[in-house]
This record gives sequence, C-alpha cells and structure tokens, in this order.
Amino acid sequence: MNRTEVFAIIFKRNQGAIMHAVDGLSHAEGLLQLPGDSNCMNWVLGHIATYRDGMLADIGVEEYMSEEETSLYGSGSSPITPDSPSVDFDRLVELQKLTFDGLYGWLTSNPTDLEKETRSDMPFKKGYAGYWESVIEHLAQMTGHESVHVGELSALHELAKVSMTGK
Amino acid sequence: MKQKDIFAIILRRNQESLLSAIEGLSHLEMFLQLPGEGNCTNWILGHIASYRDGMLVDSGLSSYMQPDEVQMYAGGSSPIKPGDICVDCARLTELIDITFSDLMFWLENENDGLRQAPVGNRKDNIGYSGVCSTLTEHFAQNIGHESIHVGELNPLRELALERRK
Repeated sequence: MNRTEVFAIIFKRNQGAIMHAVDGLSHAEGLLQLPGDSNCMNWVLGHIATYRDGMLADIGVEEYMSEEETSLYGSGSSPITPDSPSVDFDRLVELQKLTFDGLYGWLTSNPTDLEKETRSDMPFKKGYAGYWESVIEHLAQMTGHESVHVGELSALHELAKVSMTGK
Repeated sequence: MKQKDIFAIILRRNQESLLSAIEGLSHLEMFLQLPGEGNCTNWILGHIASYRDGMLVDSGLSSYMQPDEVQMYAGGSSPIKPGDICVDCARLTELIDITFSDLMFWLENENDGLRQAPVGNRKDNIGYSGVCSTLTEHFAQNIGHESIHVGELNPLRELALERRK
C-alpha cells in the first residue's frame, strides 16, 4: 500500500459517512441547529467542500466552487442560519460528489508528484490551497481535518431524523 | 514525507481535538445525550481507546484495556447511559493519553514495521486487530475511523457547555 492509497481509504470512509448523513434530508433540515455553538449541516458540508476544492487546486485538478461560495464556508466564517445567505443543500451534496470524484480519481491514478510545492497563484482564498509547503503535507493535514468535520454530521443527521418524526 | 508521518500527523490532530473537546468536562457531563441515537462522550472515548488498543496489539505492543472493558465499547455495543456499568471517565482519559503516546513512539521509531502482517487475532474483537492484511491498512482504516468519532465529540461538548448556563 502506497501513500496515496492511505488517503484514498480515508476519503472513501469520509464520503460514505457524508452520503449516509445527507440521505433524504432537505435544505431546511440542513439548517437545523444543535444546542450550543455547533454549526449546522449546511455549514459543515460547505466547509468540507471548500477545503476539498483547495486540495483540488493544489493538485491541479478541476475545481468546482466560486469565490462567492467559498467565502461563506471558510475557517471562521459566520454561522449559516435560515436567514443568512447559503448555498442550496442539493448543490452542497453535488459538490461532495464532484470533489470526492476529483480527489479519489487523482489518488487512484498513481500520481508521482506528491512532493511538489503547492500553488502560489491562487486568485482568492480557498481552504488551505497554497498554504502548506508540499501537496502531500496539504493532503495529510486536510484529510484529518475533513474526517473530524464528517464526525460532526452524525449528530446533525440524528437531529434531522428526530425533527422528521415530530412532523 | 513517509507513510508513518501521515499517520502521525492525523493521529496528533485527533488527539488535540479530542483533548480540547473533553477539557474540563465532569464525569456526569460525559453521559449527556444529544437528540436521537448518537452516543455519549463516555462511549466514544471508550470506543476510540479500544480501537487504539487494537492497533497496539497488531503492532506487537502491550495493550491496556481489560477484555470486559474492550467489549463494552466494541463496534455495535450497547449505548452507555448514566447508571450503566462503564469505565470511569478518568480512566478513559488516561487510556487516551497512554495509547496515543505508545502509538506515536512506535510510529516515530518503526523501520518498515508498517509493512508487517498484523499479529492480533480478530476473534479477540479488539478494534480492527487481526482484520486487515497489513499494519498499514489497519492504521489507515482506523485512524480515519477514529477521526470521525473525534468529530462527534464537538457537539457533545457544546451540549455540556450549554447545560451549564
């Protein structure tokens, strides 16, 4: 097993958990809020997609998110609420699929340029594109980052199920 | 960057997030339950510790949890609720610390050890011990698995903080 296969295994696990968490949910259910200062599912999905798009930028594969979209979901961005601007839930789910396919396809194509430098020409901030020294460091840091956010989706999925039961 | 460095980076991130999520929480706060069927902090900590024990076993190192402790937190085990028999949260925190230290030490000093076949037996049901064909696969599968469970701790911490208000 080589290094890219390690990332592929983790991304595949993440993607499976994401698709399970969003299955059957609506845009409104994606905005439900748990007690305290946690983020809603809409924000978590947009955040994951933004950081995946940053990885795609650094490996030189097609990106999918606009500056306007990424600005809503960067680190430290404002919470997404029913009254705030947000990306539609269906588009966020589509972005999960597109960015996963891009990353997984590249990782399983036996790439040889893992040690190359990250980009220095990003036109706007997108995740950690251009931040780490090498592509492989970017992938190692952001794979772990993504998985933790994927874990946050479990409780939000449960909340949506409870909400649906109460209707 | 080698494979072991990738594992070390993610494991360190997990440990930092985990410790941040449980910092200052009491034993009772670790039984709080969010809406639906999610697990409490106690169960998640025990689950992570038991799967780390599985990595230690497969790496040929000493493990720390007793068989009855491991089964209490195995995949598919019953939820932990206040009053249930469970491992004390102080011991769980200690297990999280010591398993992290041992795994990091092993990763820093291993020389091609990740290529070796796991030495555990899946019949013992200690995490993924004896399940994968190589240690690398075990580490990749379980570190990803662990990260997701670490993420589950964040909303539970927020719940605990909210209840204090």
